[in-house]
Amino acid sequence: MSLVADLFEHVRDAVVCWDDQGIIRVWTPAAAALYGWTADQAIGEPFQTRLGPVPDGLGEAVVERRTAAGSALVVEATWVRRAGETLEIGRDVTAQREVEHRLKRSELRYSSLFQAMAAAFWELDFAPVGGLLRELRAQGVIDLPRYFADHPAFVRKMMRHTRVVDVNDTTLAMFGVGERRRLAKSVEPYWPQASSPVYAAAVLAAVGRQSHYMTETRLRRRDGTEFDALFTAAFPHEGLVQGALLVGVIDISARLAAEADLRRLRDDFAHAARVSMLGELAASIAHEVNQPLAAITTNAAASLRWLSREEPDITRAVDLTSRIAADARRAADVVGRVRGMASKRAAAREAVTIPDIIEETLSFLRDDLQSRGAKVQVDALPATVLGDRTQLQQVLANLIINAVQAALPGHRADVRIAATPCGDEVEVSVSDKGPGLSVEPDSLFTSFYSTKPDGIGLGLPICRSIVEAHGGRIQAANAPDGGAVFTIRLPTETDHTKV
Amino acid sequence: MSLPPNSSVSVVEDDDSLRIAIAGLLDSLGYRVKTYASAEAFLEDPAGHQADCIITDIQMPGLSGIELKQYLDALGVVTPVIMVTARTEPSLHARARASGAACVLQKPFQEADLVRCIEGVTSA
Repeated sequence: MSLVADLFEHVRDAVVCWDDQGIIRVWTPAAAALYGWTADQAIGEPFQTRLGPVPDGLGEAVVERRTAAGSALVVEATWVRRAGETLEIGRDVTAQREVEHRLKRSELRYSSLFQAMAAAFWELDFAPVGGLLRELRAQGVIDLPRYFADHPAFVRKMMRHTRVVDVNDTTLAMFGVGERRRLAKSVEPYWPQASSPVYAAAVLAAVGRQSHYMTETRLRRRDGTEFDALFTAAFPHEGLVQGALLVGVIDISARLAAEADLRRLRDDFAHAARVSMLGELAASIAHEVNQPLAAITTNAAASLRWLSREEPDITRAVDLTSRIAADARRAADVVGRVRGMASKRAAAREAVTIPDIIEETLSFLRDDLQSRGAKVQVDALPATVLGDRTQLQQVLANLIINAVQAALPGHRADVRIAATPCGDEVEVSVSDKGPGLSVEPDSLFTSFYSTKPDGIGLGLPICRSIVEAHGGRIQAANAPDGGAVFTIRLPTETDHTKV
Repeated sequence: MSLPPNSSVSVVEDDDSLRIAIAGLLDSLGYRVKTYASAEAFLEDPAGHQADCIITDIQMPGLSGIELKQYLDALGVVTPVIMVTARTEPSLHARARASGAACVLQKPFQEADLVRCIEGVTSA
């Protein structure tokens, strides 16, 4: 026993030994240091007075004790019992326990936050993906972005290897998962094919030691429906080493819908303002043109009266006829002034690339086109004109909306936009597969009344003004294979003399 | 029932060309015509009230044709008033008729319509 006792003198853990009466026989310096009782004070005393109660039958346990001075202790103890003797080896885990408690409290706080968040949180294990990437590197792949772009199947594989550790309740609701057990093991089912590049970008951000990655994308619910989401991934460096990754998802469908509504409202407002302005314009045009017209009609009538007398009054008729001519000129001036007014707004002059404004106009109209399920095909060769970008976009928007609205009932709108350089001009055409034009094509650009109750037919005369102010021409015609085609010809940038 | 020839007609119209044209037509129809460029000018001329028929534009700078009619009503003048207008709003036409105009003509009016109107008014 003394050799063993000597050995235990040097062991860091507190070693105590008591006999079958419970009297302490061995009390190492470590025990003295831990409990505060010296060997003299401990040896010979019942162990309960120095160590407190010891659980029966257990081989090891964590027990709470007090030092001689009365401070609290937490000891992880191991007991070996043999023929009446009990050997106890105790380790001070007081500090450790305190840290564990704090960690547990923090974890509780975290997990309740985790649950309570309005965002959908996912705790993911990224380590398997790390393995895949190491394999790639071993194969000599160094350009990861390129590899991901060229190998979409690999991106899906990475998704399947991204393990779901935990999610909060919001995730279950947002992704329509219902019960936790129905959650997929990996994230792959929740990523639409079209969103794969976003996942790839998130991986690259993680690998590139970014702290986080955030973007808008579309994700998929359990039932396959997609929704617009704000995707955020946090890559805390320490966590990443172990492969842990926290992803937050916020459903932004409502926000996008509100933005689309706002855009539509703004457009409606602008359109209404334009219409009311044009309505005002039309009213004042009518008024101004009707004066000389009334004079012409009256003079013509009077002139006929003078001429149909028994003795025709030629002098008077001549006088009246010259008045008629003057009034006709007055009417023409009014028309000219009005057309000038319509296109006068901020005539900016910058180089405008035709394919660009087609794209911009389409993106501006994207919601309308999408909501109608319109099919739009663009074949635009590069060409540049000098002019007012906004005005040209307005002309394009007018023609595209008209083309979409021309679709036969029950049919999807099928619109084709083409831009073809043609000598020193560019020819931009917008064609539809509607019923075609039923009126004299040129009258579309001169009439002030639309055939549709809420149509923007009021725009075509303005379109003509704008196009002509840019030194171009606009025409409408029926396409040989059905539908209508509106063609704008504009001088291209190299020819300054025409603009 | 219609205006006898040689009756006098007062024309109130701010548009010079049209005023002259209407005067010319009435002249060719055999009426005596006095012209005024504004309702104010008409009211200032004592001879104006003595017309057998008044033809007035509705929209003029200053007093409108409808206001002129109301003014004449207040003065107790019962001369028939024919109103002409370039405006198309139905509400305006309704107000013109409600003010007691014998006729409301839309510009550009046909000679036949004016003649029919004149022939339809009751002379004082």
